[in-house]
Amino acid sequence: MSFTYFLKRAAFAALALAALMISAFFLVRLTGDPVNLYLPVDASEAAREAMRVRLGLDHSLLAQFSDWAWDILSLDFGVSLWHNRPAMDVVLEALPNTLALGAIALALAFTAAIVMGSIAAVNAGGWIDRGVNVLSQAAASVPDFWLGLMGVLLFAVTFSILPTSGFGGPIYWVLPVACLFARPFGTLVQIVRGSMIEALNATFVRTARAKGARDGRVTFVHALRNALLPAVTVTGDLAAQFAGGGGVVEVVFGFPGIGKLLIDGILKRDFAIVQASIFAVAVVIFVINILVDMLYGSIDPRVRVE
Amino acid sequence: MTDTSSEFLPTSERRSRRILWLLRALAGDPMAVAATIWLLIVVLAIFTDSLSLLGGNRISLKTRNLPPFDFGQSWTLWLGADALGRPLLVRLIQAASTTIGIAVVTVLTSLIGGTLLGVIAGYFGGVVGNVIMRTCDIILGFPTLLVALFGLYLFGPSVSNLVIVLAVTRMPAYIRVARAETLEVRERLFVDAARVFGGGPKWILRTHILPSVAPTMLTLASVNLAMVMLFESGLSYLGLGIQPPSVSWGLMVAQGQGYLSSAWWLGFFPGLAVMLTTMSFNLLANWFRIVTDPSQHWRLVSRRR
Amino acid sequence: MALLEVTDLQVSFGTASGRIFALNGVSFSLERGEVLALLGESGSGKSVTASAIMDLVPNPPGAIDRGSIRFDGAELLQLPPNERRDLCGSRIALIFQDALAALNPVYPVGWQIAEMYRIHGRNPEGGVDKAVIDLLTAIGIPDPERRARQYPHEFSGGMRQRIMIAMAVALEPDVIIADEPTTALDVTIQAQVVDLLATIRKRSDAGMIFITHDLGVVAELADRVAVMYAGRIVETANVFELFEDARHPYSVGLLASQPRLDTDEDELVPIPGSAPNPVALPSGCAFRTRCPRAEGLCAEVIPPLETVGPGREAACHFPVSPA
Repeated sequence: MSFTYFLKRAAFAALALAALMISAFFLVRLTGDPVNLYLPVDASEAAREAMRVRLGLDHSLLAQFSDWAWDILSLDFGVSLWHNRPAMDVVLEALPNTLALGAIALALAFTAAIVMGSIAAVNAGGWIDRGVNVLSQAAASVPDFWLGLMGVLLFAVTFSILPTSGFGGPIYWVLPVACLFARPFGTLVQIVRGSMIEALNATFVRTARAKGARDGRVTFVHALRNALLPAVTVTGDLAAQFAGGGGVVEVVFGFPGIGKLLIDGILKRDFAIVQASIFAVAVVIFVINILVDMLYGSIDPRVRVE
Repeated sequence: MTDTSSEFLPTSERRSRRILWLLRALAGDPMAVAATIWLLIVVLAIFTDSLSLLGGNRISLKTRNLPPFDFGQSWTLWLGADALGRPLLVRLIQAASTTIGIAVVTVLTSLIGGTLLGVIAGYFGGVVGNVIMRTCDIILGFPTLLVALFGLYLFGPSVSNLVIVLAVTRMPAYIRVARAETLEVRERLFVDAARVFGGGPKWILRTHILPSVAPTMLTLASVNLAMVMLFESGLSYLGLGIQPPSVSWGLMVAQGQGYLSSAWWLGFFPGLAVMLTTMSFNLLANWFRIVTDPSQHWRLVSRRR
Repeated sequence: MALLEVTDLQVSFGTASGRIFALNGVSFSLERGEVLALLGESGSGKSVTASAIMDLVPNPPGAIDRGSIRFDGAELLQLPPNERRDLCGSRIALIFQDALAALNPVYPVGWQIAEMYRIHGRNPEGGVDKAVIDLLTAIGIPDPERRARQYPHEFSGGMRQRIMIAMAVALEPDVIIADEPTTALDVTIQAQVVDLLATIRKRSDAGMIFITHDLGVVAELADRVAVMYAGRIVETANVFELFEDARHPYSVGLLASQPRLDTDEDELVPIPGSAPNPVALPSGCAFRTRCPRAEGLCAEVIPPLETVGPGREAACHFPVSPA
């Protein structure tokens, strides 16, 4: 894609992020006592005063803002109170884990959805189609944290073949990936099925048959390529969601990703971590969106911008 | 969705014909029937609970951690009991009203707010429209859970905050759809209405734009019901949603987590309830989408298979 | 023996309102080197006929209820599916009406033409790529090497139609069916496409079935004409006989309703009424409700297709007298 287009997107993303962070800054200071974000509600007055001074809350709002803005621009998100390290360092450690987890789960979901969705579409209206429909609806409706707990119950507690939580070798990834896999799989199967049915009814598929192509070629060479387009878009959206939204599953399994980091930060009132995590997630989402656009352009020649 | 041959029948007959047609369409989709049955059961359960017919939440040490499927006990104990001996089934039903209530209120808020803002943005455009759309883009740029978590962090987890946060994060989807539909209708009607009837914007909005926007918005709302339920369960599970002593299914799963190996039913049944209800909403949303699209009616009403 | 012989073909579709009989006993034949025009209004069943020959009738909801399609001696409806599919494209080819919808948008045009060779396992001298370029040149696409790599949406309507024609003639089939190839085009482009088809016709001895409702194109290209109405053939004749001496009242009506430059008429004479609803066809002759010559018998007995002269047939109890 052209450089100016990329710049425009980058500018808009930066603007959106700035808007979010700035509004967060002001919201924090204008709604109630910001110290509440750092201390439990029943902290003593002396502790609060000390925190206030430590956070620079006794300075004027303008001074606070300029200090804050300067810090953010130099990517200094403060020191995490709980980890006793610069927040951004902690975040950068956790980020790759989440990305890997999301990528694996999505890749599996996408592949499985293409296969199941195509089978269902070719069999449209028949028993296989209905079976796939029920399965995908169930998968799309399952609460991931519950699935995680049941998985732990079944595989870890009852059968002891998988660990309950923690981090280490590949075996620690099995359950988290399985949980994250369910909902995207369910959604994508429906989408692939729908667009495959549409593609299979399209005129150019009749042309392929009229040219003498057998069913296999018609389905996988002609119809599928067209049916992929909506699925790729949705997968891109899901990827963006996973960047910051896979948190609940991470919490269930104690998986050291950025989702767990963020939620722990919120529960423990570690604002530096929260701020840094949100920033990191926003950047990741932006990058993913650009990648999806480029991917879409390579699949659908009609979209390639002149 | 109109049976054109009945255009000239009296209104009451038209209405009953339409209801019959809807019932037939419902019967054409067995999954939707199952979904409706489940939802009716849930609604009935909530209703009986509101009339206090269930015998309440008595703590009883005798039934402490009673496992489920023991049909010798009274029927309320068939799903087991928790650490304080309270029947799980009763707690599930009590939580049902909270869980579903929050989902419904949230969706209604996004629906009404989103439709209004979207129609305004579409019909009047200009600076107001632009501001609305840009704000939407910003909100849509971030994952819902993230924004919800941040919002609850800033403002504290209360029921009203929960509803507001969830409604706001989902509203941009409604706004976009409402605006797109409004633009389409506006292009079609603008010249005619202005020239022929001299009708003002309010009239056009009410009689033309809203009815054509309504089916799509309702479909969106039905899909959103499922999503909001899942979000609320997740947030309550994390401890940032419904707070004790109120109870919701998500919260019950969190409370059951500690008893995973000893009393698995405490975490299993609430989560199952969420899944079945979410699934029912999804299935009905699917059915609704087909029913409101005239070109798809044959799927449900055709006698040939 | 005729190259292609269709006998008493009946095709129906199941719908929510009942079973629609798109073809009600269609019979005609095509000789080698002949151009047969299949003429009729929309809904008369012309495209369904092409679909039936090309094994494109979706089953369900459609079905071939009875009849026979003999190609080069073989009964197509009884061939095993794979053999039947193999014939399509290599010995019987179809040119679709809407070239933009008929071409796959995500593959380059050259790839789609080359697919003809790939599907049927042909290896032309000089390679597939060269054959594609030659083909593009032959149908009049300038700069074929560059154009072959482009996508359908980058071509104009007329060029896309030529590409469809190129795909159809690539393997030199014995029968070419063109389904309204000029309907979606501007008049000037129409002329070019018609010229192209005429050239193809001259260079090979393939039989061509030309489906259209446009009498002008019929006059230019066709040798013989089969007129269709409500899923039946109502008249067959050679093109001169049809234009000067039509026997079936429907054909007469069609010709009379055409604007002409060589007469002094002030008014167009349309056929009264409108095309029949396929679910509720009139009893007996389907045309009787719009026919000025209809009488009692027409409502009771469906007129069979009978010989009314050397090499011509009409399905009417009271055909128009010879001119």
